[in-house]
Amino acid sequence: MADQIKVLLFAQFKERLGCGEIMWDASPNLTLDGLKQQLLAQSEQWQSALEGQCLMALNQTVSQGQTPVNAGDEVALFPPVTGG
Amino acid sequence: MNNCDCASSTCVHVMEEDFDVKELYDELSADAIAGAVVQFVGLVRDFNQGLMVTGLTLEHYPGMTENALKDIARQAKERWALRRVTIIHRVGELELNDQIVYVGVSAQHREAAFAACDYIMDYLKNRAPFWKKENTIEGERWVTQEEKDVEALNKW
Repeated sequence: MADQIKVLLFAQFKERLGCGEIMWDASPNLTLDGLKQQLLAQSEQWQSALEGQCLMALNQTVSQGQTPVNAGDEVALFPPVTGG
Repeated sequence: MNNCDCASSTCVHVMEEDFDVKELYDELSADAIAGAVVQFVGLVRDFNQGLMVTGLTLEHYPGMTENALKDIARQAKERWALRRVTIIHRVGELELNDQIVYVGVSAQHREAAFAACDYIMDYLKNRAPFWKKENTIEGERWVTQEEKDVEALNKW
């Protein structure tokens, strides 16, 4: 979808939500923080799913909340990493 | 099978299969200029964050993971004079004592190889998008990030 944003969720977030990927409508002047607020505003399920520290990546690079998000972007939300 | 026949001097693999340290060593050491090879292997440990562990599942972010690991290898190469860097991280279901992660570095001299291997592991633990879910005697749980791993970056 050219006018949408792909949103990916990982680990606890994905498990609590029961879903690892959604498509989200882009809106003007949207930032990563703005997108996260829109997602949280959907339901209590989203609020509890994203509980705890939440990192965000834009197009596979960890990015700050004020980073602009546009249609066609891939955004990922995930807890702190625990590999190694 | 390590799939580690990359022509380039940086080799990154994220895979379910196990890896053979001897094979990886042979690849790193087949280099007349390299006078030092340092390898690190991380294993599934039986006790973590207060509970007995019986196994774990590793999830990752395909695409970003490989890029993050290549980026870490590139930064290490900018910082030290290295010959080759190999990073392998397993994903999926792992059992007690299984190999999880491998970092191998070759260099002309040992100081660079030791430091770069340590640096790569510290950054991997903080930057590469992997998440561990442990099976413990009290059920499954997601592993939480440890403060000591975050603080480890301060030494660089």
